Order: sequence, then structure tokens, then C-alpha cells
Amino acid sequence: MVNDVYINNSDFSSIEEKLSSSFRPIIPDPHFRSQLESRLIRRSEITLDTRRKGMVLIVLTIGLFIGGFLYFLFRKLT
Amino acid sequence: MTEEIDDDAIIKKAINGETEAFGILYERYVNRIYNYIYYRTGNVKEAEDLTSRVFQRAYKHIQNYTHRGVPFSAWLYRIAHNLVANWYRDRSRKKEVTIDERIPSAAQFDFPESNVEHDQEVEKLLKVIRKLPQERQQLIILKYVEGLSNADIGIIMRRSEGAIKSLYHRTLSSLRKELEKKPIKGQKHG
Repeated sequence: MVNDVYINNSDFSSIEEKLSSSFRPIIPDPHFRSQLESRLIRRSEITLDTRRKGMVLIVLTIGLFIGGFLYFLFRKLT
Repeated sequence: MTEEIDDDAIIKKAINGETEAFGILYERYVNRIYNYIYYRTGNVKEAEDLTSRVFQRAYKHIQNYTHRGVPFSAWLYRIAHNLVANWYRDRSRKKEVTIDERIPSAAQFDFPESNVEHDQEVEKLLKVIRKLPQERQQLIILKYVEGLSNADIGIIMRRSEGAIKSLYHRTLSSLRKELEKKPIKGQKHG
């Protein structure tokens, strides 16, 4: 089957020409390009924010634990 | 080749978290990836959305990129191909759009020096191409839009050069058959 295809190789020249003339490089919108680039670069800052959020969660958890512990002590003493 | 050597150095920096290095890679490949997606989807909005997703995914997973004979561009094309395949699957599931909406009209292809007759030819040819199986569409676009060799296409599509050559001829054969069914304006048939 593959051989048959190669035999007809010369027949494809017109369709190859058609394909070559049909596909032309498209330049994306410069605004889109620059916007995406800045979005990608800003991602590192977003990661830092996520870490800060994580820290806030840890502090809140410790605070709640200490609060609960103090409440428990206060109730035991009274 | 020089570009590839440069890529390696830049990729190492990008893996180490240097955002500027990733910016250089982005500048280098954004047009190629955009073109690939644009011709696969035929829609500017989808091309922009999917191009964004390709680079966001690449940025997120760049630590997972290991050279092993696969150029960075091939890695990006694979991401793009997977996203386009998912896009097609989602659209066929949702059945939100008609076939005509999925196929770009000549007006969407805003080529310079274009004329109506040429646009119609392009439109018909692209309609036929989009009816081909996905791997054949991918092959045609990589060859004619990106100008890649069979060997490079083989790396992207995880196939041997010979297999790509064979697939290419089968694709041309089926394209020719389809075009004979739907003659392009001005095309003579013997």
C-alpha cells in the first residue's frame, strides 16, 4: 500500500503547491502577546501571595489552638 | 542548532525559577504555537485562549521538562496538541456550535494581499483538512505552517521519520480524493 502511494508521488505536486500557498504565518495581536507575557511573569508574585496565605492559615490555627487551650484552663480554674 | 544550545542554557535558568528566562522562551515560541493552534481551531479567540494555556502549563511544569533528545519546541507542541485535542472533545460533547462555526470562514483568515477567490480556495481546503483525523491535521499544519521536516515532526508526534513520510503520503492521497469530490473554484479536472 505504501509503495502504491510512493508511485503516485508526482501526482501530489499540485496539492502540495496548494497547501504551500494556503497556509501563511499569522502574527498574533501584539496586545495579546504582551498581556500574556506580563501575566506569566506576574505569576511569581502570585506564588508569593499564596505562601503568605499559607502563613496566615498557620498563624490562625496556632491562635485558635492557644485560644482554645486558654479557654479550657479558664473553665477549669473557675 | 545554535538556537537549541541557547535554549538549553535558558531552560536551565527557567527551571531555576528565573522568570526572565521563561520570558525569553515565550518570546521565541509564542508565534509558532499561536500559528499551530490558530490553524487547528480556525478561530482567533480560541487560539489566544489555548496559547495562553499552553504557556501557563509550560511555566507550571517546566521543572518536569528533560531534554532527552526532545527539543523544547517539541515539548510545547505536544502540550498544544493535547490542549487542542481536549478542546475538540469538549466541543463535540457540548455540541454548542455548528460545524460551520468551527470551520473558519475566509473572512477570519485576514491575509494580506488576499482576494476573494483565493480566500474561497483556502476556505474549502481548510474545510477538507479539518475533516481529516487529528493526527493528519497536525502533520499538515506542522509541515506547512511551521515548515518542519519529517524528522522534527516525528519527534513531536512520537513516530519514526519513515512513519511520518508514509502518513504524509496517505494524507495527501485522502486530501486529493476529498478535493476531487469538492472541486475548488477555478481548478481543472482531467
